[in-house]
Amino acid sequence: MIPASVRIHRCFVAASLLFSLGVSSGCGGRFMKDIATDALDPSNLADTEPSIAVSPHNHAEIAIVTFSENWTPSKGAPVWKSTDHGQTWNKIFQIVQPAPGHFGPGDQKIDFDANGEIYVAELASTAGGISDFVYRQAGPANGPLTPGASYGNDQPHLSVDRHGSSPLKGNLYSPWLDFSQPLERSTVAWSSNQGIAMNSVGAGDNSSFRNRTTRSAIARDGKVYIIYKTREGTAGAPPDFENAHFHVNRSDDGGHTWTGLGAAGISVHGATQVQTYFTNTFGNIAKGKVARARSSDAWIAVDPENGDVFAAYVRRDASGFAQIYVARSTDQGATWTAARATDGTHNSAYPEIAVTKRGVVGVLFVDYDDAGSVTLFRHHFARSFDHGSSWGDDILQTMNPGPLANASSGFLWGDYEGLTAQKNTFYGVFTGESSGRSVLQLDPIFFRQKSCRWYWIGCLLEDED
Amino acid sequence: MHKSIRTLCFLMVLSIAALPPWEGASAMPDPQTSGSSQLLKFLTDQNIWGPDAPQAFAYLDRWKSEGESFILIFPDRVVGASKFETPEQAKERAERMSQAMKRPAAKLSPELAAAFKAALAKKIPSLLMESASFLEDDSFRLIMKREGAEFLKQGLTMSAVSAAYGPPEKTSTEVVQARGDRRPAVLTISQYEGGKIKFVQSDLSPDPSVVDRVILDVSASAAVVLASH
Repeated sequence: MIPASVRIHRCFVAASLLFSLGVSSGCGGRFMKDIATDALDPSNLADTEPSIAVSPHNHAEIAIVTFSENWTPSKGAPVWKSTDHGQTWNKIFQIVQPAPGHFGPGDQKIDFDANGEIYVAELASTAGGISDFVYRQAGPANGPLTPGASYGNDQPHLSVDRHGSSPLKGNLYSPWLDFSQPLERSTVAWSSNQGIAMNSVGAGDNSSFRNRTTRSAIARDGKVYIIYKTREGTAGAPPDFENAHFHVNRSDDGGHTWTGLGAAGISVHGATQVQTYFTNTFGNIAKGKVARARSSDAWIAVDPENGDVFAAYVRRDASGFAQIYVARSTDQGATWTAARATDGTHNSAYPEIAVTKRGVVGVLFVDYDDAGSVTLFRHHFARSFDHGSSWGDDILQTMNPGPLANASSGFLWGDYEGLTAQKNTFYGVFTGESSGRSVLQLDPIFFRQKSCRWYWIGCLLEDED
Repeated sequence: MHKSIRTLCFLMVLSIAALPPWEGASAMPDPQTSGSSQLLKFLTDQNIWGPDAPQAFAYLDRWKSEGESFILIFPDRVVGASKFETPEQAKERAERMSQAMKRPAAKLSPELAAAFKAALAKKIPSLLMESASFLEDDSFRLIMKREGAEFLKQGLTMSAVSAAYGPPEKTSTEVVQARGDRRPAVLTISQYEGGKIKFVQSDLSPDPSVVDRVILDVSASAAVVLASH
């Protein structure tokens, strides 16, 4: 017979454990699915560099672009679409060739506007050069998309202002890297008419150093933020790394000027340089295939409710490993506080960051473990429920790309992957090892995860459409 | 027989047995000849080449004298494999090559001339040599071309090549990095004749099953298609 005092004590301990678990963990299971099937991907394409967007009108409508089929003069490149929260997927071949002789998709990024209409930024190449186009939906949702004006150059990204409170609602912004400058410059093209006319404005400070990795995010007041890095040489940096600053700047006038935080913006990690990746060999080349990580080291997001700005970046720190750091600004980018999101045990890169309506911060990233005979790459999804001060981390998938025939050493999953948030749910996509396919290969892997605290009753009860 | 003589005889028999077979008596074709004739078969195959290929082949000796070990033959142009860092370097080399092309083109071998008799009978304008940016890797290259020319057959598929010549000796992939971070070309390279001829598919092509370009070993190809070689 156990004495009553012991029973009470055990009960108290159990309750305490449950309470601690509830306080420290987020509620909501994760749904994960390989969106390709043998029928949808009969050529076993690599489906690299995925990007994701969720319709603000109906969160069941999700769109993804990856490097899948190329467009031809007679057939468009595909957008992967789901209308049931990602349970089932189809390929809609709607990204048409923008002009005769243009090959692509080169680079691409997808977004929705406030009306639930889709936009895609695309890089197209000809024998003579590169140009970018923003496609818009001018007809039915699954009809051919219409390309806008030609602009830009390398790695176009895309953010559409869909905030009801924004005076610039409907504007779109496409960061790209201007290689025509003596030192490459981060540049942002803006459009107030759905990409029909694009206006490119220099945004990065390239007075001393080359720029790279330009990403954008829009606050609910219509202010637009970019993060970019200045590449500051390799003095003192180990192989595969270079010295850099990650800067954030802001446009308060719809992208016409980029001086909201001064001419050069603000370094999110202060005055001291950091070391970040610039390599074609992320991984251990002696133990298998490797990946390119040259502009795979920064991302930016804005809290949709309170306007806090979050910047994720790569920094090789005292651990000796490249780590993911997240800096937070509560004053529109003027000052920043940074914390490490990773655990200091493995080289990490490819951060993408998003914030839910209740301020939960999510980071998708990749690290690798080369302790064994082959390099294992691991896709992680880390979340912070305290505005980036502390992080919990789940491994989404561990992959050895060696046996995957369509995994090309030097460009495994692409330069970046996809993460976004709508209401209380994160939606992500990464290029990982397939499941349920006849041939084991790289495929786009979709995941979503509602992220509430157990005591956020409103959050838990809120339907995700 | 004396034991030592018997041993000597035995050793002589062994030595004779170990000698390489007399060439004249060999039933096997000379590997060099065999390789050359197979390469010639590739180079005279009108299912592979467009009508303007022989005109380009006739300048293989100029590519060779300019130090190009390999050339890349696309449907609409011929590109040198040497990569130049600056446009000036490429321009200087292109001007030199252009001068060299003013001399009469080399005479084609009878086999090639016969294979492309109809195409060669037509009067066609000269090929132009220029330097230009090669978008795939942002290098500067020598480019030989003419408006409307077809050097490599449009729409040639790798499956057609395999059907005609058997599976490639070796297949490899190569990721071509450029200065920027746009999507890199992932090339699938199918090699024949010890690498003297390679068929390349690019994942950036509208149809990746189509042969995007053929890489030719300049010296080996010149040796079989030019009469003077």
